[in-house]
Amino acid sequence: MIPFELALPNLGRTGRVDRILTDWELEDYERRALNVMLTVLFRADHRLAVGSIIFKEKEAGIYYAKATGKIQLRPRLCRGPERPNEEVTFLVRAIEKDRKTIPPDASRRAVVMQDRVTKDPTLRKRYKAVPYSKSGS
Amino acid sequence: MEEMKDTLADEFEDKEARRQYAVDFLNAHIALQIKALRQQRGWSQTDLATRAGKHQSQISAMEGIDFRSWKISTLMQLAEAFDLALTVKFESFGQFLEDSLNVDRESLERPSFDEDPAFGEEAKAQRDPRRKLRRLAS
Repeated sequence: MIPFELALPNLGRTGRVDRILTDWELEDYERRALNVMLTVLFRADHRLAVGSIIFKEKEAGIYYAKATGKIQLRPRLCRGPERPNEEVTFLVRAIEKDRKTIPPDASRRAVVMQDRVTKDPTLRKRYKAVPYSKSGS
Repeated sequence: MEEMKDTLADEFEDKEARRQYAVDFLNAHIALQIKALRQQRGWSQTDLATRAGKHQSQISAMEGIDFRSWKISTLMQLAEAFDLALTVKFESFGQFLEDSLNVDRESLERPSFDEDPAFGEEAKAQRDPRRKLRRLAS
């Protein structure tokens, strides 16, 4: 499934867009965990992905992705919205700590963002791999 | 996803990075292959659990890419349920990088013994003449 990410204009930094995954400030080991998840998600079809890589939330149409490792990255996403069996769009950054989601309303925010990106598909960008290793920079 | 492969290759220069990737990809690969094999056979998680002597909740957990508590004995039980051989091997990081990117359904599925073309009637028919020739030659 091809990963896309929401890219919203950042009002605090003129002329910049803030990409949900690319601009997420993560430690190297967190970025690697995210890279693994996105790599296997890209190669998997929707039947393989749902229940292994992405999991249904109680909010209709919203999923969370699991990045492996000691940090619990749980970004919220939706399938599609145009081609639900071939694409996903990451909508909201979220983590899980002590069995609690941060931010706690991540999925409800995702519903709002899903609505925005459905109405304006130009708000989403194809995710491209981000080199984050300190040794590589 | 060539850019991902290039990114990973650059990151593998760092020992800690390649160690983490090896662990995370291994966990993801096993989880997805269990799911792909189960779906290939048209089994529910409960079906697989019954055949492997596990609980459905254990199968569900093992099919998640964040599952990390693998035991060889558990994998052997699953291999027996799928009627497959389990192989564990050490690998170079170059080959590992190639393999880790192949987690599409086709590369994960394996035929059970009964469906394995190496052991069907056709394969047996091809083996018999070779045996006869070897007997004649000896």
